[in-house]
Amino acid sequence: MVEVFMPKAGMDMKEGTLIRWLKNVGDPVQLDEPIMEIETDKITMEAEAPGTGILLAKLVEDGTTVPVLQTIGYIGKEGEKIPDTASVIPDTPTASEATNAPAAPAAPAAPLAATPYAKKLAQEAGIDLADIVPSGTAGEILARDVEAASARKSAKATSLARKVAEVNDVDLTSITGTGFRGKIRKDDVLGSGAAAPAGEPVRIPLTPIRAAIARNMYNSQHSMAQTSDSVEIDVTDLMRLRGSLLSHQERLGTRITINDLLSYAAVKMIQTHPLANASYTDTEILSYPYVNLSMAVATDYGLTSPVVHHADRMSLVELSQALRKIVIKARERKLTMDDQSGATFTITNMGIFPVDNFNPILPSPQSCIIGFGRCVDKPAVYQGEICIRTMMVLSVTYDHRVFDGGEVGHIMQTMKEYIESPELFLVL
Amino acid sequence: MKELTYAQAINEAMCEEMERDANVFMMGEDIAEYCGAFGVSRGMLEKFGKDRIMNTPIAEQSYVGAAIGAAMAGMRPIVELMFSDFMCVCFDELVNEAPKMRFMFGGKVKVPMVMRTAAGAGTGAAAQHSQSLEACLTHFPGLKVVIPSTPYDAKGLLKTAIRDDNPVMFLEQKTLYRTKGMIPEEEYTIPLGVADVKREGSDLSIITYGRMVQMSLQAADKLAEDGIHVEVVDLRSLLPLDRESIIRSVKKTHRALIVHEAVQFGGFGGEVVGQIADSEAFYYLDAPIRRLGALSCPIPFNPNLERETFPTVEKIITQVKSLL
Repeated sequence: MVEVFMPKAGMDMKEGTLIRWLKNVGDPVQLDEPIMEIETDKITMEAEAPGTGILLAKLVEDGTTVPVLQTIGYIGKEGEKIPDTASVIPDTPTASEATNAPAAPAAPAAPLAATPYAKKLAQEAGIDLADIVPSGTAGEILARDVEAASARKSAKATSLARKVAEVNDVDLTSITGTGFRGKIRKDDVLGSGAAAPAGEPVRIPLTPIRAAIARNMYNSQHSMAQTSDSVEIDVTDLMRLRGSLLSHQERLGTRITINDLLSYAAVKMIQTHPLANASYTDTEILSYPYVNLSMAVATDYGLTSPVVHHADRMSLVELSQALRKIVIKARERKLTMDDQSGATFTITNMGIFPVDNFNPILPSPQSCIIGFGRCVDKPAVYQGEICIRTMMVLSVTYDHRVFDGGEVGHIMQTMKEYIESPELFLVL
Repeated sequence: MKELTYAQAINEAMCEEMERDANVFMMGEDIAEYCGAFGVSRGMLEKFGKDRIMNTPIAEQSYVGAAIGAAMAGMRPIVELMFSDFMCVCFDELVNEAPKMRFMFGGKVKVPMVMRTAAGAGTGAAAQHSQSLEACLTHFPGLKVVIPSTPYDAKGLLKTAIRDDNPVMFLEQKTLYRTKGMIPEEEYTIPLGVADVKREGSDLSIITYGRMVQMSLQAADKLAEDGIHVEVVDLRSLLPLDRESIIRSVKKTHRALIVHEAVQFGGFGGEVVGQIADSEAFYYLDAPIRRLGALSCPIPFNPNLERETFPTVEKIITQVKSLL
């Protein structure tokens, strides 16, 4: 007999939510066959069976959150006894159980009354009658009920917007979406005025990812000695370099962005400042021999931090391609656990906003995060003259337990030199 | 255009057809000097003489039988039954002889006869002079059953009925005889078996005929004040039945109420329900198909009680609202 447990799918993962079992008790399962869907801080994934046999018991219900590695079920031979200490939850009868127990047939579900036209419309719209709220005097589903359900279904909305609408009892069909192709976003629901009647606060449900961000940010702030510094850097030459690389886009096979160049510079900086790519433990400091570069990516479902592993082994073109790929995966919700684990260093870019200096929060257990502000034309002293230069503020947050102000000064100095003279980091 | 009453329109149809075809003649009780119980044949004796406007004894079986014989011999008789209830007296002639001769003689004879009669309640004529018996007539293949609701329809349909080579049961509505309507100066006919949408609507189809067309239209007017848009389909002819118009309307509005003055139980409404349920319109129904007819009781002599037995504007409105 093998135990089914909540997998630990990431270094920081402490608990997981069993979204649903994919098997019934009594079903045969194969090793590595998906048997459940779980949700971690960061992603939703299928988890595989740890052995082959019969799913003997489930210890937790769908939707339960449990610590990682906790036993949540058993797989074994047919008839095998599970430990007495395990508290088993009842399961819906499987087909085999039903045939074994003909004496207690399940009560048939009452058929849903619907008019012929309602049925026709529901079928055409692909809506299950069970999902329709009837309004007929005898509780029957009428055509207008199908039309209402259809309108709700066809209202394009983000999942968060749907949830916000649901908890606040807002009809999505009454909301005008401002997202891509009119998709309804959370803010559209909240801003509609329909969400908060009579001066009541609007209730915004925590999505798993929101809850995870909150927990991680809070823990990070409270478990490390975070300090931030910033410096203004002249990016005029970097912009020129980027323009030049853009003109070679076809040959390079990628469209190099300012963010790619800044990321590449940061990775090169780490070669001479390994403590920026380290972790503090209570007994020692771990300095990693590789750079797993994490990048903060805002998505419509929340903040993600996908990771480019071994960024230090990549050319600028390779890094550019890797970053683009990972950002697309993040936006399409296709990040795997691997894509989000093992980061040793993080960059975050606020450049698309009118933001100069900011204090990024350091993701635990990393020792350094670098934030990039906007690139903006300003009067600056250049070669002894006041002239218009393109300037950017670089912000660093670091764990003061790992290194001190002097080291961060060197880090910033290196970054400033690299960015102001980009040929330097390109040849390294 | 000219304004005529329902009775005058029928009179005009008969006069025109008698002028047009010398084989057309009329038989009935007190139709000559007395002009019939409802004065429909007023002036016709003077116009066409006793040979073509023939008073008969009070013996429906005999003169309907005579009309069938005349029709088989090449004439085009119009027989008038004073009250439609009297068709029961000559039922054998009407349903067992007239519609069957053409078939039983292998098409060698035909029975181009029109039976006109006054049907319906509302005049305090009591249980034996107030019935609407159209449903039983529709059960006999070979007959045609027509019930006009307006002077215009009455004239056009009767002219067609007279020209038809089959026996046509023409059920006039006695409470409509004095209602007025516009009639074109020029000649026109209306084909049998073609319903008329008397009012377009989107929310529900009232399928009706005869006197109930006017009541349904009044109900529709009042319902429109509440934003309910009812379509009123006047069948005009029950046999042949314009099934397509019924289906088209129900598919459009998704709800059907059949209204007739005849007793609801076993009435023609049941056939309309069947036609709808048995068609593609079924899949477009968003409410049960409802019938509204008279109560299952002999029609009382007392006018107040009489009024309670058959559909009224208020009853129609109540039924429509219950289906929305």
